[in-house]
Amino acid sequence: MIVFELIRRLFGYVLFSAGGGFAERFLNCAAKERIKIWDVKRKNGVIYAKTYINSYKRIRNSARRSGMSVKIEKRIGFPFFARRYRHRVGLVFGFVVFLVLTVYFSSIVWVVEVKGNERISSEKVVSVLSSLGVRPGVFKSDIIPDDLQYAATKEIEGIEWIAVNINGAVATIELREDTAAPEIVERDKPCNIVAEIDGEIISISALLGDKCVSVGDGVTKGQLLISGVSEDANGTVFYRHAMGSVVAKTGREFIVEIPMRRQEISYVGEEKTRYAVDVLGVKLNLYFDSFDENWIKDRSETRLTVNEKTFPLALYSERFRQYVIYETVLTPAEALELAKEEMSALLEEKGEEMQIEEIEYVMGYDENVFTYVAKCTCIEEIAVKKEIIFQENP
Amino acid sequence: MRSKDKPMKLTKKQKLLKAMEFSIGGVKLYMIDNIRAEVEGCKSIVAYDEWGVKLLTDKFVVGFEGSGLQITRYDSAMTIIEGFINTVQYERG
Repeated sequence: MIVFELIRRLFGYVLFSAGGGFAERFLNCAAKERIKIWDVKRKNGVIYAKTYINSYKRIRNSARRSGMSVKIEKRIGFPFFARRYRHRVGLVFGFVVFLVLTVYFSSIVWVVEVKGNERISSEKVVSVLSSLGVRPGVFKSDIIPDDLQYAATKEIEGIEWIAVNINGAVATIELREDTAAPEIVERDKPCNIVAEIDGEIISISALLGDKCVSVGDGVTKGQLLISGVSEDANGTVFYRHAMGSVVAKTGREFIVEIPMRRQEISYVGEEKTRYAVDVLGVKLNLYFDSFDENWIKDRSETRLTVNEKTFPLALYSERFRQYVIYETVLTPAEALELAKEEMSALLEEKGEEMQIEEIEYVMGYDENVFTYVAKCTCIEEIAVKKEIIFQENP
Repeated sequence: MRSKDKPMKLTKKQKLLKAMEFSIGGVKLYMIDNIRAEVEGCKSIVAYDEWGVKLLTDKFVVGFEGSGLQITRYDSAMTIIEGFINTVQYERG
């Protein structure tokens, strides 16, 4: 019923009254002439009914034949509204602009969201898809999911499949990441296990191959630890893919260098805050000032977010500060502080690969560089595989 | 060649339908509670005011009595009457 009413209002209709004659005859005549009349009411001998604009012109015949006089009570619908405001050009123009913008904004993508990623960052997926044409502001009709999915699978490494679904103004990128393939041991390729670094053997276990060193032995870099070449009782030689673990006590040096001269920024003079807006990826500055290279810019942004969906509308607050660059020379104490911080981070990182038993620090500096060295005694895995290469005799 | 005066021979099914149509007067009436009546086969309106409506069909004059009655649709296909209907009456036309 609402749809009927909307259609009627779009084409326009009139509410009219008819009185003074034979109401029934009037209705019968109108029906006979196929004039559409609805919502007929009778009050105090007067009929109130509705009909379309064109039908109202034809209804006068029926009224004359039934002795009734008809009168328009109310005009309803878009044609009457448009006629009333036909001289107001601005209003009409605004209405047209509104319609155009409504159609335009409902036919573009506003939000791009990524689902199903764990290892691959959303930023990377959005960036690749953006280069392939899925970004806020593009027409939904320009996005061809099948082509995109094929191209995106080639562009982004580590995904099994990817799908682009458009729902309203939101383009949802759904993907599934590859499961990491297990490391393949090429058992048919003969190899030895040698030492990666000098050290003293703490433990050795050979899963495949013959041990060549014992616990407590000192080894040098490249020395054979587990051999892939074996010989049976008959003197027949076998070549195997040696496998095993060799843990040794090693000595390592980690070096941190801090430049003694540094360039630093000092803010001088005034500070200005200006605003800019971002609409569908297009940035519009709300200022006309120009800032040279002596100004540094910090930007904070406020994005429009509704129901956890971020829309491509943002307000930027940009703070411009005038600055100068000057050179400072660190004192040895300051340089040592910085070096200690860097060394601490470095040792923490290395500590994941090996166990550090003892540390001895050594430092030295000249006018340019402060050097900080950590001499460590470590316990670590030193076994590395080395392929056995066969050479044919000439 | 078939003579113009000779009536067309009806099938059994057609005869049955014709008989049913004769017996019910060719009017179909659907009612939703006592607030809406849809009438098919109405030829014209005999009388109408907010207290009563009389519709002429092939065999009957179908009358509705009540209050606040209005004809929300009236054309060759269907007539719809809405309001509070108290009585539905069939009179031989």
